[in-house]
Amino acid sequence: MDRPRSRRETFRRREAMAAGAFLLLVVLLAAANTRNLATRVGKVSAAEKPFGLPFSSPPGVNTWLLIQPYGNTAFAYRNRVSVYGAGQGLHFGLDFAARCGTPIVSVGEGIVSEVDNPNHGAGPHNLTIDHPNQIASFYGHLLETPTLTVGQEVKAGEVIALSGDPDETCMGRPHLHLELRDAPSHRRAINPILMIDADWDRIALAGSYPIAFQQDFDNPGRWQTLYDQPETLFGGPLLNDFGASWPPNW
Amino acid sequence: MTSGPRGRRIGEGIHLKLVVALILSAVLAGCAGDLGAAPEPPAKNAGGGLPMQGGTQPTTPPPFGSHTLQPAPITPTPAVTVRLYPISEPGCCSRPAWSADPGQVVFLDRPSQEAEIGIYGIPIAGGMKRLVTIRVGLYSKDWSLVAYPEGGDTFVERLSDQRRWLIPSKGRGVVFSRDASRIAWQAGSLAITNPDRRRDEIWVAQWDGSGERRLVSVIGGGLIGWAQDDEALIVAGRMREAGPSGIWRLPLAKGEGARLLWETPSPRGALLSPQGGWLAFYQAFSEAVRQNGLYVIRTDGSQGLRLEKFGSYRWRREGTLLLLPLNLEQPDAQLWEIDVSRAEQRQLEIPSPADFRIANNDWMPSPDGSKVVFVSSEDYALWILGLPGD
Repeated sequence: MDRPRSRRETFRRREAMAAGAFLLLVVLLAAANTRNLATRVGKVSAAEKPFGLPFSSPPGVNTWLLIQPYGNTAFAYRNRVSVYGAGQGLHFGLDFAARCGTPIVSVGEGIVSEVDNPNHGAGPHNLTIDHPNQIASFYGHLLETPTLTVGQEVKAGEVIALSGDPDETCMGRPHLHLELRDAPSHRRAINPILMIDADWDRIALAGSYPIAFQQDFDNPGRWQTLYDQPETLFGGPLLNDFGASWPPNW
Repeated sequence: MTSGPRGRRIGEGIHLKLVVALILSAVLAGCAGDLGAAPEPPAKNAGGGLPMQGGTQPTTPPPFGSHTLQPAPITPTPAVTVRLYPISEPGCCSRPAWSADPGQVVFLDRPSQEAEIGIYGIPIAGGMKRLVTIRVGLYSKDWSLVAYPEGGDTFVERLSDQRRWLIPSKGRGVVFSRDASRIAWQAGSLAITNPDRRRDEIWVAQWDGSGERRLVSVIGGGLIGWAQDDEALIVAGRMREAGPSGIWRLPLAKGEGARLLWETPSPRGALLSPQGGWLAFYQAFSEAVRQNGLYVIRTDGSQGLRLEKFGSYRWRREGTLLLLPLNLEQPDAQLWEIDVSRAEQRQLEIPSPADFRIANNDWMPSPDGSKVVFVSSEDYALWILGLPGD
């Protein structure tokens, strides 16, 4: 049977909860500020972006290419209920096409918090690293179970896994799915582009078509850039269940 | 502006051929994974009816038996300088395209909650944004027809009298031929499946949906668009489960089988030239690293080469490709023009490179090849890049 809490203990618990809430608020405000700034100028300074790319090599046809950004993508819209329903209908990460077996590096220093958590999807294998700034990085569609163990420390740029293919054939759609979430709850996803130091506008310059964001007929200019995208609350309501929009699902 | 019986306003003489390309790019990107088609128009009046026949059978021999493994030698020519200027307010819009004349840039917009959703335009010579039409859909080159979804079906509407026809595509989007006499579409599951194993059927019909017939079933690929003469379709994938994968020419004429133009396991970013005579695409992540890169091939199978550069590319005109190399070591983006038929290239120098930052890979040459419109990542305004002549 629990003993009654003293007034001091109660105060300490409330203080700790308040501190935790404040910390989360700071993180969320920082992310929001970063997003707002990014929205205004299209980019943010390196000092505001604490993480690096998940690859050690530059983009290209022999290394990796950004194939789907975070947020209100047309692809996510088409699959907003079936695939992305748990993430408010958004594509709550970045997709990088890469050959199976391409080394993945940690975007920052941190501690391994989860290995192959099936609740996160993005199979066949995945990995989560919690970073000191209360942000977690999540790596999905890995080729094999990472050799890292929960609690193990990793450095920024350290090889942590190999990219794979959700279809497990390495022929269908081999790619890395990268998310940034709040830690330790992992309940919110943040646009990684706002926190990874890279020239995203230049990285997006590959192939023959623009990046396709879904355009809501009520507000066609909303959520149309790499930077201006909503945060994801897992389990929250759909954000892109538009009455009418373009492109159609046909 | 004119106002139709249903209150639709149609800009006089406005031809949204690149709206078609813009919209199709999104549609086909979704339908065929990395494959997409920008059915760029021009047109000869192919006329005639649609031959009625069964599905075509593939023939074997690719005209290019072996690939060009080394980048084709491209002759450099002196650089020339381009002009750069904004035409809209910051934060204006996304996915710009061109009117036919190329005097106007058009885009999907709803300027205020009181305004109508529709396709709006801005004159590049200066002027206010104005509504071009409230009908959002896929337009034929001459803007005589528009295809749009409604209630799970696809309709084609003739703009001259607003009559419309139900297309038997089971709600799938269609691609108009350049002369707007025919349509093509692909049918298959829209669910997320292994794209290498997905099977899609390629269909053609008259523009009003009559005379529809299934041409072929393709595995791991899909419809790219219409070839130069509108008498053949260009598709990607495999014609049979264990067969070769690549780019195929699929004639509509009876008795002619599919012809493999280029064998490649998974072509990406397929883009037809304005006249349909060339196709650009790239191959990536193959273990045969020397085969990865950007390719241009003729859609009649007579020529093909691999370029030494890779990045973001668009056709400026028939046989002339614009390319922004993907090279982050360069402090600013570069713009190159490659004459693929002459195997020549030249750099187009940007006078103020800091102003040439493109958002969302969102840029498009004008129909006459004299300009490029792009969304700036600095202010999200529409900017124009005036290109030099030949």
